[in-house]
Formats: sequence, structure tokens, C-alpha cells
Amino acid sequence: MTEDVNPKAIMDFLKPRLGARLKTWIETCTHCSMCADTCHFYLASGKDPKMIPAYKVRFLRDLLKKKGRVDKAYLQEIYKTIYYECNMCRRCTLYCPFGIDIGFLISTLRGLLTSLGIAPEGLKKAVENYKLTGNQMAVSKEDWVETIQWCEEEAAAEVVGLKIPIDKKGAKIMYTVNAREPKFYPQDIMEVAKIFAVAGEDWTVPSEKGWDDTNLAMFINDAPTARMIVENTFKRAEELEVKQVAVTE
Amino acid sequence: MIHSVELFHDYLRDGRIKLKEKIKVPTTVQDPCNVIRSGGHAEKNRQLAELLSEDFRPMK
Repeated sequence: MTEDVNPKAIMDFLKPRLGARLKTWIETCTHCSMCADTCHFYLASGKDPKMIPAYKVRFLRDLLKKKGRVDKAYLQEIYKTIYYECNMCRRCTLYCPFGIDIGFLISTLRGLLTSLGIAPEGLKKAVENYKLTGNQMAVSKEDWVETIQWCEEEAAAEVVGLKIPIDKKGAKIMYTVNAREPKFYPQDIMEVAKIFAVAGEDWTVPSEKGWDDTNLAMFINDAPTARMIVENTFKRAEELEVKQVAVTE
Repeated sequence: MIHSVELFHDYLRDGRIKLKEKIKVPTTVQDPCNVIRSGGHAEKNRQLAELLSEDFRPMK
């Protein structure tokens, strides 16, 4: 039963995370089902009891009881639930009488599977891109800067005097985007440049990594990469001595 | 950190940008998970939609 899943790997991931908070949350749930009606998966499935948030986090207690001795099919069942039956919106958490953060529990399970190499392929690729280039779409610095420059040119044809200041030290706002914008939707960058121009805002975009404000590593609970992504943004903000970082995500 | 919802809401509220025309067809807004529950922008998100629309209808 356990030949292709290493129970030690599962327990090595879970054990250091079993602080008071996680333990309390796992043990406190009374299955009162207050969370049921808050879940859009539950409501949209015709109130399928399998979609009740409290039920979706049953795996954590189960894994601990079994000391990680589960098979691949079991991990696949976890995978299906935590990626396709919950998007960690945390609405259930707001209604839980005990304040159990079910989104956090799902995220813990996602992190566990990530540590075992199991995550949606698209997200895995995006997370690799962050590690290599600092953004999810693997846009190079040259492409990013060039895109900003021609966006500025085109938008300036509509709003006289429009500028997209790159690396402007001491600007009030450092603006960050979703990396899909330079890749697929540069018109979004032009639109925001027009708003800033008309509002007379003192803004800038960084040329170095830190300009992508998405954090898909967070979705698979790859904490070190998620942290690196945020740190890139803060590093740029400190270097440029801006007062605020504006995010669109 | 400032979210674009808050930023654009404040621009409109303070008159830093003005609209030529508002959206005419009925609009509504669905609370996005993290902007609302972790970001705390429920009010400004709704007000922004109202500021942009002639016929805003809150979800029931």
C-alpha cells in the first residue's frame, strides 16, 4: 500500500507545522456545518455534502492518524479536493464559530503535495519562471523595458505629455503589474498610464525584477518562492525610495 | 501597499480624474476573494463600481 509514497516525507512536512494554531484548528472542528452554505462549490453542486468545507480538510487529521502511511490514489484524492473543490477564498473562515482558517488548512495540504512534487503543471511552470526571471511569464528585462517604452509612445499620442517614468527615484508610487500585461495585454499598461497622467500622479515602474505583483507560488504554497517574489518588490521599492507600492492583484 | 481599487476610487472621489460618461448598462460587482477578505476593500470596491456606473445594482 505504501510502496510508492514515503510516509516520512509526509510527516517531515507536517510535523514542524504542527504548532498550537494548526493543532487547535484540526482538533476543534465539531462538524457543525455552519461553513456549508458559505461555500460556492457547495451551493453550485446542489448542496453535495462532499463540498462542505469542513469535510474537505479531513485529510489533515487522517494523515496524522495514519502517520503518513497512504498510497498514491489517496494523494490523488487530496489533489482533486484541494485544487478543484476549493479556491481558498476563505469565506467559510468568516462564518466558522471557532474561526478555523479552512483556507489555511487547504493551503497547508497544497504545500504538502507541492513538497512531494504534486501541483498543477501550469502553476509549476509559472513558479519556475519566477525563480528564473522574477516574473510568472518569463519576460526578460529587455522585453519589459521595451514594452514600457512603446506603451509610453502610443499612450502619449492620446494624452499629451504622458510619461511612464522608469526607475524614478523618490517617486510617490511604484506601480506593479500582472506579468500577463506586458506579455498579452499591454493596452492595460497604457490605460493606467493615462489615468496617472490625468491625475498628475508622481509614479514609476521598476526596470529590475519585482514589477510582477502576482504570486502564484502562494497558490501552491511554495513559501520560499512566494517570499522571494515579495522580497523582490520590496527591494525595488527601497532602492527607488518610493512611498507606496501600488498593486493590481 | 495600496491596491488599485483604492487608488482609483480615491482619484474619482477627490476629483483627480473625471469621467466623460458612466457605464450605462446595469452593473454589479462580485467580491474578489483576497482583495475583500484579506485586503479589506469591500466598501471601496463597491463605491468604485457605483462611481463608474449609471445603474449599479448590489448583489443580493
